[in-house]
Amino acid sequence: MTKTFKGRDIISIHDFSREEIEHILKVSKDMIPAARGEKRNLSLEGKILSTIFFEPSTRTRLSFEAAMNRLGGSVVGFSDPEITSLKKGETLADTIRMVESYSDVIVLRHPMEGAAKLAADFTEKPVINAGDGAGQHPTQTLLDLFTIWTEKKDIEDKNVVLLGDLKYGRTVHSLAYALAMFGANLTFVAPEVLQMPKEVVEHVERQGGSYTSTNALEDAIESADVLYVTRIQKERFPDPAEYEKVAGMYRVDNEILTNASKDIIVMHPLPRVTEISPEVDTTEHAIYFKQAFNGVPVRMALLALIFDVVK
Amino acid sequence: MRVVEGRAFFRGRFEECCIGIENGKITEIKKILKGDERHSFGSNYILPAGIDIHVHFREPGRTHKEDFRSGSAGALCGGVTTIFDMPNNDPSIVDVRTYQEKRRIVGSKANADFGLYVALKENSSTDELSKLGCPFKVYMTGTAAGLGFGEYDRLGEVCEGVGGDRHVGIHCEDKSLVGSGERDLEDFLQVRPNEAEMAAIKRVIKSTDRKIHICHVSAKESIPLLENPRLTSEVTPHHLLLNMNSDLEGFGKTNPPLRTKSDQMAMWEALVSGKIDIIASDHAPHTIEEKEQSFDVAPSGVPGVETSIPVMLAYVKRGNITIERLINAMMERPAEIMGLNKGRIEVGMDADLIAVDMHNVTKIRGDDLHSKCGWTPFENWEGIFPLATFLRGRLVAKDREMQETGKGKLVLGDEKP
Repeated sequence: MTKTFKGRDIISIHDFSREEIEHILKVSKDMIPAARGEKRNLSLEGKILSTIFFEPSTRTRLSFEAAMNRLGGSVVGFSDPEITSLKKGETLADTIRMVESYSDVIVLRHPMEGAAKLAADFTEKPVINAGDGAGQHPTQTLLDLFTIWTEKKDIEDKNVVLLGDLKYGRTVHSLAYALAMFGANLTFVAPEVLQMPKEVVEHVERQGGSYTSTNALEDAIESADVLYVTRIQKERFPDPAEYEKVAGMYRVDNEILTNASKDIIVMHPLPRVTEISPEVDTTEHAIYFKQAFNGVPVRMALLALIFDVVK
Repeated sequence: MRVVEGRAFFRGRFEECCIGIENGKITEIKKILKGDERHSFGSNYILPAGIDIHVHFREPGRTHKEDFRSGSAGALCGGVTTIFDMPNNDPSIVDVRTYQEKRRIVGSKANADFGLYVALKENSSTDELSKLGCPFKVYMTGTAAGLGFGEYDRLGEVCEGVGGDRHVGIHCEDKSLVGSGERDLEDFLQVRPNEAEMAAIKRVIKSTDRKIHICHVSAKESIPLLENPRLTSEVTPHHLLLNMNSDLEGFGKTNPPLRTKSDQMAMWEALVSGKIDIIASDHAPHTIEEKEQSFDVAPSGVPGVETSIPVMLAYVKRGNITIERLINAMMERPAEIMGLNKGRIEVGMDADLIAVDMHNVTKIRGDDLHSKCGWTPFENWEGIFPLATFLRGRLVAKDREMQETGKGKLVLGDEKP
């Protein structure tokens, strides 16, 4: 069943049904011309979005700001806790109370898991979660889904390989869940110590999703439609030599992509370090910069739905 | 050997395993264990059982509201195996004699493990009291039992007199800032303002260098003061979940009062971030008749020992707090603060366990609870009640019904006074 989007908080991907996500994807597609600046859309003129970022995330913040501006709305906000009153120990409670009187929708990023839910519980204004610690980052998941859907025409039955740090990377947890909900076939490729946690795997199973786990990238990408790469962080390994070995094993370059179908798309939430070789950037496979752009139409769609200016 | 099997919270994460229990203690934790008595919970959670360091079970003296049997049965059915009972009884628990008398009365009735507080007043015989090994309570404002601490100048000396390693919990509201004649919940906040709590905590910090536990923090102005490393603190579920705008009228009257929405949110933030250490229920039952009286005469206090874990687990499910932080706040840290061999699933610890199915969400109803008071401020709220509760390895409650009674032991203080 589709609930109304008007005034709704966007806290977790788990709050949405498949039908609702499909609707968001369709609206996102309609937003592309305006997101590119090819068409004027002033449907949110006079509305103000506040971005309150208790930890920096330039890409997410800029993408929200671009989305609001492309819809004719305005943005207020801060992104550097060092130079604001937060440094003086202002609480989330007081901050939310302040910004709710300045704006019509609040985009929040906070290092504490559960912060977005907490904020949403205490303000009448809609809250959009732009990442809360190890918790949720639903707009990232939506733009990832949108990218697969637009590039591959569908999500159901597509073979999606999730590669890298599957244990700690929150983006891949929400994405795995959402992909399973859409009936994609999942392959988890990671060194054993960084494999997908059991809770996430069970979530996938409960969605009726099919998956396999392996540590061999070469075999996994043979039949893949999508290769989703995440960063493996050095800090996860006590032994630097072990890290180098693992990082080397999973570096995506043109050579390893010769094992894959010519239509495979390579995605990455960015920022990328060394896990994708720059030589891949100029190939047809590289979709990660387009993926980053997709954050704009998807966030425009959410804002338009929340303000009830599209159906 | 008894074996409890499920997905246990062990070394900071959930693992499917078997917990072996002998003589009430956890002796082994392994993937597979054989045992002559087996309790299997499949992939449901096994958590350490709750420890509630702040309850009022009303015995001796006001057993029409609650007694040790009913209170501790509620505790077990709500997943709490250890409680610490407050001293505002009739007679008040203020010296060795009243303590030992209470110990004798409640000892055989306790279904859960327990500790008993003694109230400290300005003229307490601290040398004698320190030998009891019990926890202590200071009321900075008057109580119905006349336990208010008189001369604040004596506060440091008395708290230090009972010994630095004893637990001292303080109800912080400065009596010079507390009034009377309250008409409703909003008015009650004028009568017992945020400043009263903040001023009292400041005074406590100035009065002594020893460690102090701040009971039921409720005002947002108090939070920065809690960063003092000598202080630990608790918040109640009702201060997290309710505010002065609730429609509970006299049923929502409690000390300290339900405050504003903004205070409520600050409590959540402080709890989740760890500035407030633990959750305690401040279970303080009064009968429906007593609470229905006009607001100014209705007694202060709300029940909560049986609902605190269930209602908070429902908030874990909603995504407001992680299960890890909740376990820390309701099991691990209370055990550390009281110095108990409980609160964690580890070899050598007491086998106090609860089994929880996170999908088993039910509506909380006063009629289903064990308290004699017969009501709850969380009527019709969602709760996740434990499937089973184990006290030192014994299955004492199952599906919210008692299985074994009278197995509670004194956990802090002299076993043979």
